[in-house]
Amino acid sequence: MRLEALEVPFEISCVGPDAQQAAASIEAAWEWCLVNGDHASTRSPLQRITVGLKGASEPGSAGSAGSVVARDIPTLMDRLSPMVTRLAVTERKHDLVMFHACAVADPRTGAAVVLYGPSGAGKTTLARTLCTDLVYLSDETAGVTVDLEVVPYLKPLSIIVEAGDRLKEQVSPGRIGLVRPDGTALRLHALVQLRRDPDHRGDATVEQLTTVDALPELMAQTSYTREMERPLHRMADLAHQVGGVRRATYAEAEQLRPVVRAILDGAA
Amino acid sequence: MRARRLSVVDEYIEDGRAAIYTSEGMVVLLSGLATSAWQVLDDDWTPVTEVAAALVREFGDPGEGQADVLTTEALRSLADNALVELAD
Repeated sequence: MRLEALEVPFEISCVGPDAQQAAASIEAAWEWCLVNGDHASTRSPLQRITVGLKGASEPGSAGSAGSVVARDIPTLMDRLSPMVTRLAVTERKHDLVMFHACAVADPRTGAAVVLYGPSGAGKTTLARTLCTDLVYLSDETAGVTVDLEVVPYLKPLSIIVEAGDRLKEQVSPGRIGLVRPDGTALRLHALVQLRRDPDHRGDATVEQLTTVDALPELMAQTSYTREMERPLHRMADLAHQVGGVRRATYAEAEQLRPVVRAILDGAA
Repeated sequence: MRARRLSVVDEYIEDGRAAIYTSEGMVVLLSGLATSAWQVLDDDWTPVTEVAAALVREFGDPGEGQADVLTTEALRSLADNALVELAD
């Protein structure tokens, strides 16, 4: 099957026992990233990944960018996602600024808000909460071009479906009712640093950060900054182009709905 | 004591405060005093007294010999973050 991540084309080959079942699971979870061969991006070289379950022969990796072997399909799905992300981010390291972020957009204007933060900041929960009426662009990696175009990464979300599950399930954004991009041009409008504080009470608080104060976390949540020419200046320039960086402190994702709405209303 | 800069990836200074991308891959925020000390230094050794004099010109004299003490503290904080090298 063919899919795209950050416009990087992938070919996923399932081999060995339960290959058909594995392929069906991948297709279901990655449905928003699937492309048919005629429409695959030619922006980057095709990344081939071989996946299979342990039991028969190990999947060969000759000519592949990577291989994933697991004892069961949930584990295989859990391992495939970070591999696709890693390969896609590496492939785009020279032409995209890529934030570790949840990214959402206004369905009418295409104005996008990138909410960045470390693991545990609540990015996936935010995407689930906000993208029932805003457009889902990613719950993990948002790519931005030099012209501030946002490149979506419509990956499955990692969600604990039932309490006690050992692994998070990889769930298609369509399966949980998120809004899909419709082709409207997506343009970066705001950068928001996430600070999740479980003890925070009341409305989310939003502060405008100075660029200098924003840079450490902004750099920490951006991939391959070492590859950039004058990385601090590049990121400061990007921040200036969107009116600087805001920091939002919150406890529950729902508290950020009015914050993001207000930011986007400012773009209308 | 004397000090000199170590190599860094990038530096960004705005409103008297610097963010420095160290060669170890960290982005470090400097205080106003440390930013000024950083700006006085270059790749050659500079005596602490010279750095202190520059800081006194910019911030005023704290008095009672505190200029050298505060300058040394600022330089040590830069050294702790792998931004400068210190020598006797």
